[in-house]
Order: sequence, then structure tokens, then C-alpha cells
Amino acid sequence: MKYEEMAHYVDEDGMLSPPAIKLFHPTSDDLRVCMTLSEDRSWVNIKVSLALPFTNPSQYIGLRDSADKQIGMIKNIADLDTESREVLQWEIVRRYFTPQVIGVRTAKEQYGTITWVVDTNHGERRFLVRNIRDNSQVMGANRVILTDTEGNRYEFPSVSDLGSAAQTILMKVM
Amino acid sequence: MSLIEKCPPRIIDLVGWSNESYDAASREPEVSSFPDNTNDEARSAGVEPPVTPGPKICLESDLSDGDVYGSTWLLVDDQSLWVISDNNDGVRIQKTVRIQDIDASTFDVLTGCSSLVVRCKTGRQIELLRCTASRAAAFGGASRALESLMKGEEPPASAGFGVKRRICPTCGDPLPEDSDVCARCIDKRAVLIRLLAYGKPYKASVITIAVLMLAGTYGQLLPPILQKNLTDNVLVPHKHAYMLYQIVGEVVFFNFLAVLLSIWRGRLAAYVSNHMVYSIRVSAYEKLQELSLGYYDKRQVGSLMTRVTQDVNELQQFLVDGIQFFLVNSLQIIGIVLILFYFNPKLTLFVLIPVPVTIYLTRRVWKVLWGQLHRLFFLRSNLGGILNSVLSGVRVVKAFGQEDRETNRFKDKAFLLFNAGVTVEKSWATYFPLLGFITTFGVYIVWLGGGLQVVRNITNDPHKGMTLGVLGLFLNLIFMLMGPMQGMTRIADWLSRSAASAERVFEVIDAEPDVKRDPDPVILNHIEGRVQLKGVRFSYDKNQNVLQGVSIDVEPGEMIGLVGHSGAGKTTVINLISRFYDVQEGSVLIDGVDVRKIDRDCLRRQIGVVLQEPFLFPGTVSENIAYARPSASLPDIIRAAQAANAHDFIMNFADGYDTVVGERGARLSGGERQRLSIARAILHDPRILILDEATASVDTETEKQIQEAIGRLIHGRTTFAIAHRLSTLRNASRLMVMERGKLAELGTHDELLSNPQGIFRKLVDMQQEVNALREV
Repeated sequence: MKYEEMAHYVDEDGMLSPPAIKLFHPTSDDLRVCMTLSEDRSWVNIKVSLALPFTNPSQYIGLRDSADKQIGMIKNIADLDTESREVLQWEIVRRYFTPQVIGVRTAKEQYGTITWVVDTNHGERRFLVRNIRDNSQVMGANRVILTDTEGNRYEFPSVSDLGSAAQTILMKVM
Repeated sequence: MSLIEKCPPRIIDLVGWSNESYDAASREPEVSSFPDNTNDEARSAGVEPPVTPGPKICLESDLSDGDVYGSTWLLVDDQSLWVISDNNDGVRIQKTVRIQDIDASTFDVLTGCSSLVVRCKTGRQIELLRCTASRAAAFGGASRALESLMKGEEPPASAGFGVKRRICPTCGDPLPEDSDVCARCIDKRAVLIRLLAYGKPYKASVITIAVLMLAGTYGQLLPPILQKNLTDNVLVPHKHAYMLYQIVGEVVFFNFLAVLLSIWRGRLAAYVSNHMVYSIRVSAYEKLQELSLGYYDKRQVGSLMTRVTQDVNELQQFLVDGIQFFLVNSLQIIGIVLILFYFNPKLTLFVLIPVPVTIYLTRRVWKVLWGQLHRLFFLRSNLGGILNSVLSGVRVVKAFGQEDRETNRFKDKAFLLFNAGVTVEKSWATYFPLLGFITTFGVYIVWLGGGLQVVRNITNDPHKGMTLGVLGLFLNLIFMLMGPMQGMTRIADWLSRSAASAERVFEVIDAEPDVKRDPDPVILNHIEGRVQLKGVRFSYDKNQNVLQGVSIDVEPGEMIGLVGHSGAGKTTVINLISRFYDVQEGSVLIDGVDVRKIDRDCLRRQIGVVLQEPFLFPGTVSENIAYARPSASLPDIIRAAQAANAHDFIMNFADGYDTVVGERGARLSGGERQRLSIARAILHDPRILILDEATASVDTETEKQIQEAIGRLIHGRTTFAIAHRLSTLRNASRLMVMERGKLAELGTHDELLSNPQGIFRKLVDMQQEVNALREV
């Protein structure tokens, strides 16, 4: 999408003007997300991408067309009308799946592999992390993301709230 | 591989599949070397291959409704598909779609999960289910199988590749991506026996080591016994002074003998164990050279390097130090306990009471300390990383005036390191004195229990009770016992770690190459250069086909230009011609012979490549040119360099052809490296030549020189050339325009240019626009 074509729909920060945006599904059982801007331009099957999925997932949301070209960005999801907000939130939840660990049942290290049994916001999960140095991403003083042996990621939003076994292991990379 | 997984009967019953057909479908098909050719052969004979009835897909996802971890099944036959949830609420059909209503199937890799979606003929898109990365390979295959079923075809066998989750068959835990070793389940004994088998050629030395070990260990235990005799027979009775000289002489002799035996053993063991490690390291490296590129695609270079370096180092440590440490300590413990029991069984039992406590506490303390030490090492290397990046990028830091920011960042990390250092030192300062105190409990027991007995035995008669000499012997041996005891608490970890390392190394040694040598190969000593691709299909990760039925017939001596967007499949075509990989469907023929049948050395000898990033090895210019023909004479090397327009710049180097090129040719410019690589190809004198972006990223003058060199190189050879700068392919006999894995256009430069709607024409127009902009 050329910049000149979109100039009417963006504010001084280059963000799409929230009142102009309407997001909806064609029917309730259709996966596609459609969008109209000021009811004079429309797209079918848009994609959503977050600029800051870990640090600010509800702001700076990119909307892309079916050819994967950027249509524009939304500054804050809260500025959208209710239906559009729900559709966008639904699509974000669908596209971004990083379970948050809310409790650690056991964390056992053996031969360089840590076996975790945890409670997440998506249910209980058991996973293995091998070579924790290469498979961890520290996101601040108290937050870390681990990648398991199969490529799944798990966020530990508050390490200090977890038990001592988990803290002892995670502190090695924090 | 099958797309049918074991499914609970309650789910099969829900869709009404018969048990017989489900069981038949779930059986593994027999493996054939060219699995998907049957359908092609049937079609070429004008017969549509029959679609067999019964279940086609039955797979379990690990995410259920609302993205909660749970079970959702996808069941497909040639009429319909069903999505069935299986959770605490029971079994429920969530979605049913008729195959005839589906227009397309896609497998979307999202962030953290994947989604299987079908597009109906009405345009509606339905998300069938989602799964985590653990099940992505399976559902990627399911998506391709669905596409085939929509066309009324049997799912290709390649749809099933990689479907099975890589789990340990013993414990069910997922296996690491780059290895089939489950550290938890390896048969440590079998691995260690195999490891020790590398010592077979040194049998005599190994026996000598064992004898020396036994003699040396017991040589160390004799002096305390002699000291006991000295006390009881000389010092306490105040007589037999002559024995004093004799016993002291014996103590010195045995101590010195133990030292000599230990030196002999150590030197012999160092020779044997290092030879064993050398054999293992060379075997692993030889196998890495033998393995095909497909093996490397699945593994990171770093991980393979770890196996040849770190894992083998771990084995070295174990073989050189670990085994001796284990055996010497074991012999010492056994010997000491036997002596103690011989002289006073009752007191020995008391003395051994604190041993389990000491072992338990030592393990606990080490566990805590290891955690703290790991953190310290991590933070130390982290700080080193920051220092390295900032000092390397010091110009950028200064240019943007970020000195204070970088200083603060360093301070923060240094403070973390300071805290970690203090924690470790505090723990060290606290735990070890306490541990030492607990360890000496055995000594207190000896002093108390033994002391009382000695006091009661006024005559120091060994028949009436414990003597002073025996008390001294106990004290000496208790001190000698504690070191090996503490050491042995860590031997189990050491053994496990080494067994895991050995298994990882053996995994490389045992790996079977994907590209196998034919047992009865065809020897083509002089390839004419006719290359044919027949319905070639190929994928690297088994999820998405990179080539989808590519066919072309290339005459000897033709130059074929490969054109297309990135990811269109150009490099894959040349990878298959070079037989870096084997096709999954169809065939590649050279001079009418399938490349899989041609002797590999013969083939490689007659194929030459010039890559975009020419790879030079550490060594001199002449060694690099002669890499493919080490026996080449200097005049041959110079002739090749002249033909490659490289001779002049080489002669301008102070060291001429003896110039050392540095790591990866770092001391040369891109154009110089490229011309050396062309000289290498000229000297190699291949019948089939592959040029992969040979003139990319060089200036115009250098490009002209390289083009001249290439012009000389391609003469009389079948050439495949990839180039993004389309003007460089003007002289090609024909151009292959690749688009999304298919051969979209084929013709001469002029023919393709004359089609205004053609892909090639559009690419040329686009490039001219970009060039015009650059000129502005």
C-alpha cells in the first residue's frame, strides 16, 4: 500500500485513526478477519502482527493484507470500538501463543536437561529444556522465557514468585 | 511413516470407521527406496492410480478448545474430515467438513503454535485445530495429505515423513532436535563397555596399568601399618631401637615405591587414554565428512562441533582421569575398610556411622555450589560478551555519544557479577569448614572409642585390647578414607555425564548418510554432460515442497541460466544435480544414468562449483587453487590462475603464490577470493559446472574480469548458472525461470524477453527500474 493512498487514514504519528477502523469476521464461523477504513476501503483476510509482543502486546499492532504488505498500524487496541477490539483480541490470542508459567510443580536438573512440570495459564504442562543458557531469553530482572527441546516457548513472568527449585535453576541465567 | 496414530476406540466409533480398515491403515507400509514413483509410473501408462478406501489421517493435536493443553483429534477418510475433542467433558465432534467442499488446505505456522486451516469452495476459511511445535511436523504432513485427497489422489508417502514426534522410545520424553540420545535412558553400562573397547589394541598396557594401580594403592596403605608396628614394638615398650631404622627405612621405601608406581601408571594411562580419545575423535570426524548435507541441515554446526570437541574432551577427561580416579579411590576405600575391620571390627562400625551423613551433606553442598558457580560463570561470560561487543563497536559508541550509557550498562552487569562472586565465596567460606568439621567426626569417635580402650590396656598388649599403635593406624586411615569417600560422591554424575557424551559421539559415528553410495555403482569416467530432470519433487524439511515436479533436458555443453525470486528453488536444482541431496520423487539423470546409481567419487570429480561466497581454507594461495587437485604442478596452477584473471594480483602480493590467505580468505577482497575460486574450478576441469551467483557483490571492473574468466571456464562444459543480475545471463543457451518450486518459463534470453506478460520480462523490467533509480 502506497503511503499517499493511506494518508487520509493516518494521524500525525503515522498510525491508523481508530474511529475509521472496522474489524469483523464475514460470518461467525469464518476464520478470516476483514477490515474497512472509513467504509470506503476494505480488505479481506488481514493478518495481525505485534510490534512488541513481549513488552507491550496491546499497543502498536500492525495490520497486513493477504499479500503480507503492511496496511497500517494501530497505536492502542483500547481505542477501537467494541466489536473491532474483540475481533482483534481474538486474532492476537490466536496468533500469539506463549503460555505463562504461574506455578512450578517440579523442576529437576539431570545431565544438563531440566524437566519442568508447571501450571500455565493454558493448563498443566511438562517440558524439557536442554542447555538452559542457549534456550533462555531474559526479559528483565524477574522475567524469563524458556524454549523447550521441541521449540515451544514458555514465559516465566515472575521468577521470584516461584519455588526455590525453579529460582535456583533460573537464576543461573539471570 | 503413516499419518495414522493410535486412537482410542471411542473416537473411532464416533465416526463409524471399521476397526479392520483402521488397523490396516495404521500399519507401517513397507519402505521402498523410491516411494512415490509408483503413481507417476501408473499415470505415465495412462492409468489413474486407485484411491483405496478407509482412514487416511488420524492425528492427535496437543491443544484443545480455548488453547488449553489437551487432546483434539483430526480424522480424515476420502469423503470427510472430523475434528473431535477429547477432554474431561467427554468426546465431542467439533467440526465436520466434506472433502469435496474443500478448495485448499493450509498449515499456518503462527507464533508459538500452528494452525491447520481449510478454505471451502464458498471462500469461507475454517480453522480445524491448532497444535504446539511438538505436533507441527505431523499436521504439516496432514495439510499436504489433505491437498492430495481433495484432488482424489492418495496422499504421497512424503506427506508422512517426519510425522512421528521425536520421542524417546523408553521414557517418552521428547528428544533433542539434533540428537537421538535420551540422556536419561541411555544404557550407561553398554556405552561404557563400548568406550572401553577402544582400549583393546593396548591390552598389554591396560593390564599393566591395572597391576600398577593395585600395587600402588596397597603400597600407600603399608606405611600406616608399619607406623603402627613402630609405635607398638619400639616407641611404647622403649626397646628394639634397631627396629626404628628398619621401620623408618621401610616406610620411606614403600612411600617412594608408591610414588614410582603412580608415576609409571600415570604416564602409561596418559598414553593409552589419549590414544583412545584420538581414535574416537578421528572416527567422528571421518563420519562427519562422509555424511550428506541433509544431516547438516538438521543440526547446527555449533552442535556438531561440540560433539567433536567438547563431548570428546569430556571423554578424554573421563578416560584420562575419571577411570583412574574411580578405580584408585575404590581400591583405597576397600583396602582401608578391610584393614580397619581386621584390627578392630567394632570400632570400625562406629567410625563408619558418620560416612552416610558426610556423603549426603557433600552432595547437597555441591548441588548448591554448582548452581551458584554456574551463575557466576554465566555472568562472567556475559560481561565478557558486552566488553567484546562494545570494544569492537567503539566507533559506533563514540559516534553516537553513548559512552555513559555503555558505562552504566557495564556497571550493572559488573555489579551482578560482584554479587554472584560474593555469594559463591560466602558459601565456600561457610560450607567447607562445616563439612570439614562433620568429616572429622570419625576421628572424634576413634579418639573416644579407641582412646578408652587404649587407656584400659595399660600394658599395650594387643591380646588384651587396643594398642596405641592401632589407635594411630585408625587415625591415619580415617584421614586417608575421607578424601576418596567425598570424591566418590561425584563419580556417579561424572559417569553419567561421560556416558551421555560418549553416546552423542557414537551417534555421529553410527549415523547413516541420507545420500547413500550405490553398492553396484555405474562408473562414468568421462561425463558427456547431458543432464535431465524428470518430475523432480523435493523438500528439505518434509513440510513444504521446494521443487514441485521440475523437468528439463539439457544437452552437453549447454549453459542454463537459473532465474527466479529468492526461495523459488534455483539452488535446490543445483544441489540435486550435484547430489548433495537425493530427490524424493522423480529422478535426475546424467548421461542417461540416475545420479543415485553413479559412483559418487566419479560424479564429484566431474562437477565443479563457484559459489557466491567463495570459501577459502587457511593456507596459501597455491594450496587453495589446487584444493581439488592437490597433485597439480605449479605451471598448472599458474595457468589456471591466468585463465581466472587472478595471476596478476597474486604476483603483486609480496609472497606471490605462497601468500597465506588467512581464515576463510579474510586477507583478500571479495573479487580476489572469487577469482581464486574460479581458478580452483578451472584446475578441477569439471564436465558439469555450477555457478551460484558468482559475480554478486563485486564492483563493475572486477565483475568484468570475473565474467571474462567465467567465459573461459564454461567453454565446452555443461553449465548451470544462478544470477540475480539478469544481464549476466545474456549468453546462456537457455534460461530456466523458477517460480515457487516449478519451472515457469524455459527458453532463450530473447524468447523470454519477447513475452511482455512473462515472469522473466517482468524481472528484467523491474531490474532496469532499480538500475535507473541507482543512476539518479
